[in-house]
Amino acid sequence: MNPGPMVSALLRNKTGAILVALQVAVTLAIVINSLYIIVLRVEKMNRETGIDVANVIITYVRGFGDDFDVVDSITNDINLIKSIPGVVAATVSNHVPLSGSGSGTGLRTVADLSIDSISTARYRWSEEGLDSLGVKLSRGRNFLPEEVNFIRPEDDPPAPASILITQDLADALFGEEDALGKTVYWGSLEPSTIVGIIGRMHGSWVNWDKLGNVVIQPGKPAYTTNKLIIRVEPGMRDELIPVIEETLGESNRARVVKSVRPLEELAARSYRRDRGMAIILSIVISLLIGLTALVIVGLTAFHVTQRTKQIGTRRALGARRIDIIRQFMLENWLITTMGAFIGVVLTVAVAYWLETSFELERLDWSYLPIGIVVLWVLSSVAVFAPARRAAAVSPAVATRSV
Amino acid sequence: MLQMTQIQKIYRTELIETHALRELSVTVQEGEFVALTGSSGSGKTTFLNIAGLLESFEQGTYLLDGEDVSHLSDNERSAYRNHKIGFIFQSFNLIPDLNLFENIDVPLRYRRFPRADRKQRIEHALETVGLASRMKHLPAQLSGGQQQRVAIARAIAGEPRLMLADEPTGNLDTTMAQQVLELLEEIHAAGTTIVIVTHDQGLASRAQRNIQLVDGKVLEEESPHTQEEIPQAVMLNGGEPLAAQL
Repeated sequence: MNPGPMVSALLRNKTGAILVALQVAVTLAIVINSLYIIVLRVEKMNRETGIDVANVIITYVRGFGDDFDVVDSITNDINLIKSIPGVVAATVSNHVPLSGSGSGTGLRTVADLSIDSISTARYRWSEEGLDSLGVKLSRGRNFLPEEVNFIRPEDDPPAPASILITQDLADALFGEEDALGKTVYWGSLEPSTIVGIIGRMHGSWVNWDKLGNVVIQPGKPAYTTNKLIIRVEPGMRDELIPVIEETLGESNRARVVKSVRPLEELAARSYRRDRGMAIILSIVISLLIGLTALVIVGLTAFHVTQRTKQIGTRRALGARRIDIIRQFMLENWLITTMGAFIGVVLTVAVAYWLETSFELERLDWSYLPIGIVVLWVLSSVAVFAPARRAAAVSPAVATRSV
Repeated sequence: MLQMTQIQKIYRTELIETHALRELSVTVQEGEFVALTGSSGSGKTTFLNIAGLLESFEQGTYLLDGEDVSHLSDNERSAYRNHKIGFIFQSFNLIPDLNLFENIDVPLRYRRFPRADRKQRIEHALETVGLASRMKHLPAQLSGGQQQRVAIARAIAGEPRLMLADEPTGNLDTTMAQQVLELLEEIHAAGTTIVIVTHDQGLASRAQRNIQLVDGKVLEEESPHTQEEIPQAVMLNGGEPLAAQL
């Protein structure tokens, strides 16, 4: 069907068509940009952390009383936990990755404070730390037992001789060079030697752009409140949480087991804003698409009612039912396409605004044709029912006086 | 050209049945100019709808151009209307958003004529009705008489065998009605069969033959012209010749 006369008819009677086209344009701009934000957030939430998140349990314990022996308590707790069948490894740590809580530091490749340091998250745990998180060393070695000592709050230990760092931090510090065996300097300009490289591990702050920069010091933090990281056999996490809680609770009345929770829950809490944003935008997209479909259905139904006699006349002049359906489908396709053209410009403008104002990544332009095709399909589905109603108009309507 | 035998048409609602046509038998020969008259509710429009394949009927047979069209599918009826019948409606039924050229083009597009052929037919039809210079005008820019001439141009562009006109001068003043009537006579003179439905006795008197309907039946037939001018015997209810009835 040649759309020529249809285009000229639309141009002569353009108010409704323009309103629908604008609705389509706004829908396209909002849907594409929102969808892109959702995809970015979902990708962010699903990033490979390098940690066996699904099988790690975090326990917070707090001692009280003047005669509370924190070293003894931690040692007993770790031994007790490791004796529970299904537990793979356990360690005490100064912070919990992905939890939103942690500490950071700066490292340099030369002992010169005038040179900018590389920011990184910092953890301190025992030789069982890697195994407790399910983190894998890609090169080098783990801490040796003799390198790991208890560190109390009042202690001011020197920089450790050996440290582990992630590959991301190694790349940031040394670029193409191999970081293994190299020396780095802390803020005090004390040196440490990199003895192992962790392939991948995320730190505590999921919104930080240097999330992959992590340095591990050997040590067992022995503070009033301590964090125990426990890894269990796959599938046993939920079963072992109450067992751990009960075992620890009964073993030592001089400290309180504040919580025993899956790391997955802590990570989910860290990503709650991303998840919330994805959910809200999904709802907005659904509502907008639904609204646009309703507008198309409404306008087409209005046109069918308004043009009943015209449809009857076309049928009388030889139009088949399929010709009437085609006419409405084509008319709608023209309006949607017109809206899509305006929508592309609007989408680019909104994407540019988001990019410059909120430092959002540049829109992946492959979303544009996908969005247009989705709108074409949506509008075709929306227009089909009223178009069928139009096709059912009797040709005898042409001879009716009203 | 058109032979209806014992046609019955009933409109049904939940409460009532209306017998619009009662065993109606009408024959129109090729090349005739026939006027169907009758008061409001006599079944004129129903006859026109059935004759133009716009509506179906309950009983009887209908031969159009020698073919039984009683059991055609919806698509086949559309094709018949498009190929064989030209319609002229009382209120012109032009599409307001299309210009004259595009309006006349509507049935030609459904017939899948090539573009050049359509253009030639449209221009010729508009020349025939004297509106060739206004082909880019919209219907609203024309008078009623001019709009009806456009409707006639739309009807003749496809060179139909049969032209059905529903009160073609009903919405026109006397002068314009006269122009439209003269145009129809020219088309008839060129060989097209014309059936007009009207309650205007003046218009009906210009036809070769009048058929008067009352309550869905043929009441009487008469010819304003001499008997020799009537090509064939006129059929009454039951298919009997008029002479036999008289």
